[in-house]
Amino acid sequence: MKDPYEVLGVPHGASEDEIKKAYRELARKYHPDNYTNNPLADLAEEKMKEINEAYDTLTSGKTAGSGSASHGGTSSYGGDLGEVRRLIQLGNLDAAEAKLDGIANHNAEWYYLRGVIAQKRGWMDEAAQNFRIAANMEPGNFEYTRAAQTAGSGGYTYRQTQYNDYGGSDDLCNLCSTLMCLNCLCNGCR
Amino acid sequence: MFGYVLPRRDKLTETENARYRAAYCGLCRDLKKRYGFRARFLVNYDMTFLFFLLQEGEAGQPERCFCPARPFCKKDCLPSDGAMDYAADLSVLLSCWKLRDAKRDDGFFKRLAAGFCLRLYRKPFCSASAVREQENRVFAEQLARLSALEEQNCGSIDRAADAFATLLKACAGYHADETLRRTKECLLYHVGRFLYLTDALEDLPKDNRSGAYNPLRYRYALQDGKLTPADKEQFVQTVDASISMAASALELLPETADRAILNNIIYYGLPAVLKSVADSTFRKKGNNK
Repeated sequence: MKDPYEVLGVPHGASEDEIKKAYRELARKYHPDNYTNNPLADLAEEKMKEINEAYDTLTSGKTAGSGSASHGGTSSYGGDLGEVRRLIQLGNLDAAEAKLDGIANHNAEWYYLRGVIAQKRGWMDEAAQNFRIAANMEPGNFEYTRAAQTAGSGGYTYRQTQYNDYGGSDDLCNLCSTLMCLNCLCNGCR
Repeated sequence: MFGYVLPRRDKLTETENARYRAAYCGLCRDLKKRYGFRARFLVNYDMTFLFFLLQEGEAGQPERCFCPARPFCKKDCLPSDGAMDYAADLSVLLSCWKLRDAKRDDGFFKRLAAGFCLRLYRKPFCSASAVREQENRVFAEQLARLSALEEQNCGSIDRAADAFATLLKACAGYHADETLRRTKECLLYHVGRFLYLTDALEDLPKDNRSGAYNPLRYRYALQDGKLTPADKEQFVQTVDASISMAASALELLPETADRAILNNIIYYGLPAVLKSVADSTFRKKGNNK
């Protein structure tokens, strides 16, 4: 295992506050929400795991907070679109697209999945177009609305990381609780 | 190349600035070493970025070397290494492909000049394509794909950009390590998208006058040959998303000696270039801040 101090980027013998601050900074950077539909999501997850383990070791086994919230697709979908979701999850985008093209019924989910495929390829313009159509067809669906809102930003909030100097723990708590609520709502809708 | 991948000099420290210049000069010297004097003219900022991106392990210390542009004062040059050689080879390849493109598309005099240059660089091109056979094959394939899309007047900016982005992605072939290569491929793909789309935005007025292909002409309904403010905002956001994706890949790379320069280019340089192209102020008044 790597040196936990090194992982968190703090000097040996750093105070608990310093460790906590470094942990928060890193957890925010590599949070799964920053890597939604990103082809490197698995690497970010690995990094997150490493950071959590390091933090756990240094704070002698206390839980590592909300940073490890895993963000996964539920696989309880049936039918052809369920198969498309499965292919997307496997990373087989060409097969998923071919399957999608073969489906005649273009409902909101169909456009949403087209958007996901485009986003995974990094094709932001097509992703945003498809998410917008999906959200318009089914305005009550949080998954679609959220995708339509965030599609333009590429998921990763690089301005937040570098440009702003926001460090208040209140901000972080608000952010986390908002995301948790949103997550509940999204799952509740299915 | 394009000259869009620049750092924001005012945000670099004195030492970082000196190292950036030394890498540029080192690349120029390496081009001469590998391909003769004429290759010095192919040195560019985009490939200086590639050098910093591919760099691994300990960074070399600068050496004093002769500069033909300023023969009476010596310059600091970073020593040649694997990454530098690779960046030099790809500078030759990409420049020659660009010349080939110009020879086909541009006006009479430009075609004539491009033809002359191609002749001049025939030998460097031959040897570079022999050394980097695989990369050169990808370049040829993707540029053929791009011309086919142009001929069909492709209205999807993503698909048109995909060809060029895939081309640039091949530059990560330098690394044998799977994780490192995959991360850099993702980064370069999005830098490629950024390059292609920013170039399309800058060339839009010109292409609209000459009737040349530009994906924006087919994607958006133009008003007086320009994007409407709403469309422009949306387009800039799309390109900005690619900068975000490049940043998300950069954060997953292990630390290197000149990481601060890479951070500067992605976090400050690219957004600044995008903004100035969108405001039509790029290249107008000394863009090299």
